[in-house]
Amino acid sequence: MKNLRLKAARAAKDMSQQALADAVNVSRQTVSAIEKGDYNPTIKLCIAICKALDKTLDELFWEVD
Amino acid sequence: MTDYLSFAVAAAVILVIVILVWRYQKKNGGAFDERQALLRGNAYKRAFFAVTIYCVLHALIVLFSEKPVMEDGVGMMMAMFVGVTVFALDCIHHDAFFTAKQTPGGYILLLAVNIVTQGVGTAAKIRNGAFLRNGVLTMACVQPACLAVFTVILIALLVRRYGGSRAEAEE
Repeated sequence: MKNLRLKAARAAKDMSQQALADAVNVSRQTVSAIEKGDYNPTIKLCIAICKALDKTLDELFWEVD
Repeated sequence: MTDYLSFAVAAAVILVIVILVWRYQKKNGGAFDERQALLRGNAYKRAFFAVTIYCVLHALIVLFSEKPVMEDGVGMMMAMFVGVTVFALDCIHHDAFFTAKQTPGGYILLLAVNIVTQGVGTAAKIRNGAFLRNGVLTMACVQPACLAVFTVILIALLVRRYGGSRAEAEE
């Protein structure tokens, strides 16, 4: 499932995938894979992404039915 | 004696180069991220099974062929090439060949230089007809095999870098 909230939060901060990738020390392809739902990140990476985007885990990664 | 000495010197030079490259990469290349580490593990597994299947096929060919197909050692060298090729192609396909901080430019240049040098050596051996002796593949065919491996890896890198970049452009 695509993570549109992550994509929206990144866009709201005016960050490119590369900028977010650099901020959390991963490759751009990894950020792209998370946004497309092709890769489930570890909790460590989720927290790093949340800190980089000033969001909580719930806001970015909690799936509501 | 001279042969052993040259081999020892060549091995020592290669070892020093490997250590220098490794230290440089550790300092400037950074580490693979968690997705890449996972995919590299999968690539290793596929390479391992590819080598295993190759070894079984090779053993069957040796067992059932009436006369030797290749000299001793050639088959095992080919197994190494099979493993390296599968691992590299899998990593390249999943963007797990380079770390986030590494740029492929230097590797592409290194591969190109390697291909040219191997190509020159292979061309010389083709002229000498050194690949076959009494219908048996000799160790001389390791060089064209090496050339083929690095050519395939270079093509995959170029396709991934320039061909795949448009398709994967940021949405």
